[in-house]
Amino acid sequence: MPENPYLPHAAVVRDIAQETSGERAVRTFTVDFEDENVSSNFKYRPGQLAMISVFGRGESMISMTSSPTMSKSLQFAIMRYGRVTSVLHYLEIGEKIGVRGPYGNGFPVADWKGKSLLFIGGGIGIAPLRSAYMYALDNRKDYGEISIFYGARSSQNIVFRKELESIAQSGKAKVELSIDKPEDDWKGFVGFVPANVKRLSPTSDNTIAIACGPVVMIKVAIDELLSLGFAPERIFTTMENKMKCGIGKCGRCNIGSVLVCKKGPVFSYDQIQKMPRDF
Amino acid sequence: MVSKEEPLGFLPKEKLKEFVQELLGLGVVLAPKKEGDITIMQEIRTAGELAEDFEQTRNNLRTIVEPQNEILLTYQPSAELFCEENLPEEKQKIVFWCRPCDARAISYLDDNFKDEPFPDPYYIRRRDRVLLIGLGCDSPFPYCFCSSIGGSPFGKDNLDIVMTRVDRGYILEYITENGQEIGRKMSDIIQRLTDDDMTEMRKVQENADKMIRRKAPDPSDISRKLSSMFESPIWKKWGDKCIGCGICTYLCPTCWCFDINDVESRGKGYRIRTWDSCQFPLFTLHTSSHNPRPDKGSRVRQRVMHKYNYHPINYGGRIACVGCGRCSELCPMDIDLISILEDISKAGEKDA
Repeated sequence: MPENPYLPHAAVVRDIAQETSGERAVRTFTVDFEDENVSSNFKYRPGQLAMISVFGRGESMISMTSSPTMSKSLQFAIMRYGRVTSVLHYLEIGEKIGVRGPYGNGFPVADWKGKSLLFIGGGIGIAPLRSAYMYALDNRKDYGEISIFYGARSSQNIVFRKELESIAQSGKAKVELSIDKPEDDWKGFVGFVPANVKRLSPTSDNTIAIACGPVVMIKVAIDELLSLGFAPERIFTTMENKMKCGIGKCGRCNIGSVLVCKKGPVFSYDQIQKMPRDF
Repeated sequence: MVSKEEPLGFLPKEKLKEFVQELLGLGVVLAPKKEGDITIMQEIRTAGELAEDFEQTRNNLRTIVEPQNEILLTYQPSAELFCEENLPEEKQKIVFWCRPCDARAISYLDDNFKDEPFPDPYYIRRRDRVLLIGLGCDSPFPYCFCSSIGGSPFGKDNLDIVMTRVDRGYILEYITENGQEIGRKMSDIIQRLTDDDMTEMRKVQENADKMIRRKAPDPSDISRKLSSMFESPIWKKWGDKCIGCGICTYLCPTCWCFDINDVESRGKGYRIRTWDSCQFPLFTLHTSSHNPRPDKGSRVRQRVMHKYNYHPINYGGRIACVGCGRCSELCPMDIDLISILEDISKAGEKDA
């Protein structure tokens, strides 16, 4: 019999980065599996998910924010929000969490070879996007132009700010940061992310667009992308629904006949258009 | 290879208790047992506990392969050990006198729990050690509609033996090698049947089909129509009537949805799996407070869609309902599944 899919593997927290602060703070956790074999068997694609366990609290499905090209460690950018994610923020370096996975389909990064990539992120939606853009940056010659549009409520809420600024400086990708409301020191764009996309009107020629963030942002971003000439099958997003098992058994994450944990979380807009409004 | 052994056997009425007693020596026996006014399929320890005449058991076989609560893992926060799996013991279980519809329902649980790439080891361990001896329904119950949904009162799906009650006892049809093995072990009790027994068996079986009074609209037609009925007004109509108690899902032999939670007691931690229901608002509630199924209409829709549209889409057209009628009979608001299906049939015609 194959291994028990409900059994989490022990992973040690190696590093904790405070990305943003406040009630909905975001921290990035870098973890290593205790068991070397588990670590080498954990092969994932950008955009895939893992079930994070804190015994006594339960489990939460979180996307890898690291790219498999970066290191053997896994990274998760987690917003303090619910039952599990709140206690995750009390973790200290050296403590253990449970990790099982990887789950879901992930981004079709192999199919995107030779194309330009336009990433559009809002808030914590940057977490899965980072996995994909770091992958593309680590395989830079496989892709055309790489642009990252990212917006947060305020400058204090920009996740991975330093890293994004250094990516911009390296010239490997174009980075457009925005905040929702004006601030004295802010020199970048003020307004919602889709408005920034509209303002700069990136080309849809040979380009794949990937949008992750709040549902409202995704809706407006998709409208914007369509009017820029992106075909629905070239627009990708991630869907989320409550999940308990993560392995297609517990019966709650479906959108129509599609289980998000198995066939998702990545869907093209073309696929989403064919789904019932069950999300 | 064709078995040369007799595919049929005869158990005289007066030997029934002895037969059950023998079964008790082969494993844990679960059988219909009276509990007040109702009958529950549960473990029996003596042949005398078996209810010989019984109404439809309130529970179904889900309890046996996916118990209502089970410990998946144990953990001890302070201990060296991170966590430990708690796979069930592989005890042989013999289910005696389940109804063919309940046995058939296991196919749908199999679809879910055996599905690749993550077959469920807890389920499979139990499932692999269950032997099913069915009792054909010679007098179907008032809410039954198995025959309009691909089943039959004497259906054989998943059964190892099916029994037919005749005047002087029971006729056993061995369906699987495991069933035949039981027959061999009971060879001193089981007799050969006569031509008269055969004739009587056929009559009982034919008669049972005629006794099913309820009829559901053509299920494959329902399945097809549902594909364009996600936004239909019928869901609000039935949702308004529903009180969201979830009893339809707890009694359904093809329901499998579950929740996973951590509980602690006396310094020890348990990660437990418990049955859950799509009829509860918390089932799909996001941390952000967004709920994809925020009202009862959308939850009634999920139940019907899952059985009659989503499951067939994902599993080769197989409709995940066996027509046992429990959801209709025991709904406190008298929501009858057949009425919903009839609504779908009618509304679908209007749309077409």
